Amino acid sequence: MQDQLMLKIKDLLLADEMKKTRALEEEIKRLKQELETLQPKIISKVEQNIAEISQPIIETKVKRELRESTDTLIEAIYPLLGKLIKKYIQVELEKLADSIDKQLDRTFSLENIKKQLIALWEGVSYKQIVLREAAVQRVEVQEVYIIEQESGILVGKYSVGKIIDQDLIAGMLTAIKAFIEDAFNQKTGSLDMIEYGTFKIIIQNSYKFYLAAVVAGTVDSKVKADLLDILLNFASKHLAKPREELTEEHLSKELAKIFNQYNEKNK
Amino acid sequence: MQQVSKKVILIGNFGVGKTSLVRRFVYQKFSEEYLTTLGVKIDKKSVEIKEKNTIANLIIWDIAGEVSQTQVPQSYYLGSHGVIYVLDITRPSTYTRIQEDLDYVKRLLPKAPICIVGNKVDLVSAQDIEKFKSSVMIPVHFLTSAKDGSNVESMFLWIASQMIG
Repeated sequence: MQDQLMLKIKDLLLADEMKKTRALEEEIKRLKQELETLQPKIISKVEQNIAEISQPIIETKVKRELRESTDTLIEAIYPLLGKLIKKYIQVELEKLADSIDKQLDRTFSLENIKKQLIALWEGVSYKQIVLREAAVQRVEVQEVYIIEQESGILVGKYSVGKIIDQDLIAGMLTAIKAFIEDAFNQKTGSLDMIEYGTFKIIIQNSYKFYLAAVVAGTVDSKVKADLLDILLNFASKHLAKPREELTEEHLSKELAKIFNQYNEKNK
Repeated sequence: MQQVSKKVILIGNFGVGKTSLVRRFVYQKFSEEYLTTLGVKIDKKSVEIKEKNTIANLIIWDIAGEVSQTQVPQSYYLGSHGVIYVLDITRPSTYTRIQEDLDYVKRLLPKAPICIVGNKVDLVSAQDIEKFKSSVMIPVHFLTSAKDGSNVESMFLWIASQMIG
């Protein structure tokens, strides 16, 4: 009896709120259904436009990140580069091994007997001869500079291509040479080679000048000695004259004669 | 027109503006940022000396600043055809040893012309310039400003002309 009374009071007091709640529940249900029907359409629309909208934003962001975080990028790429280099060396070593195998396969050939005789004559092992021939690569003299010892002024040049300003290279080489000779307090010794990446700069000193040859390729001790000889011969033939008699044009022409021939021979 | 190459060195205390003068002359640029020169930096610029019918390729050796020029490796001086000694007008400590430094340079390079330059003229008043001139004791050839470019070109042209002789 009491319960029924309570229900009636509740109905009277909360009738409006209950109506509203029901109406809201209906509305939510309707919206949910509507959303379910719209959802696939919205997704396909977003999928269609997202690339178009985000592409310029992402591009700008990536460009900025690349510019501002070069170190981080290099840090990330470095191990990958390491792996690539390792792979490259591995392939090159395999090629070298193949080449040696081929050489050894011809053990009883006339050519091979000749090599063994050369090894005996030069006093080196047969292996060294085989390795030297297997690893042989083209040596190219790309630049030659004749530089005044003290001032670092360029007085003659030879160039296969154009690297950068040759006057600046001549100056910097002189500064490096001077720095090393000062630092080690060496007046009798001198800098005779600088290695940079795949390039080697071979330096031959003469009295008032020094000659520097920029060489690409495999520069072993024989190539180096040969080049030093060529440079020294050049110096004694063309540079042992008073400074006023030396012209850049003449010296450069003479260098071109010698080193064009050298490069042709080593092709 | 004949062409000649000449080595010119810039010496002086650290922070006097040697690198900025070269930068202004070679690249027509100026930066407020101060980066100390390590060892030596080499630049090049060709100038035409009309009255001598010559093009001078200036190989400019911008040498790291030292309190005393005796501390500069001697080999950097060798073969120089001209010297630019740079002072900072605003810092008297950059020219207190000038006589001693010049004697040393003249001993090493007796034939090379020396150009004495008071830099950073844009930072001082006419009165300060007078004060500077009386305290430096040695005739200053040019008062320059690497910042606004005043006298930079004419100073390099002057040394080029002196070197050609």
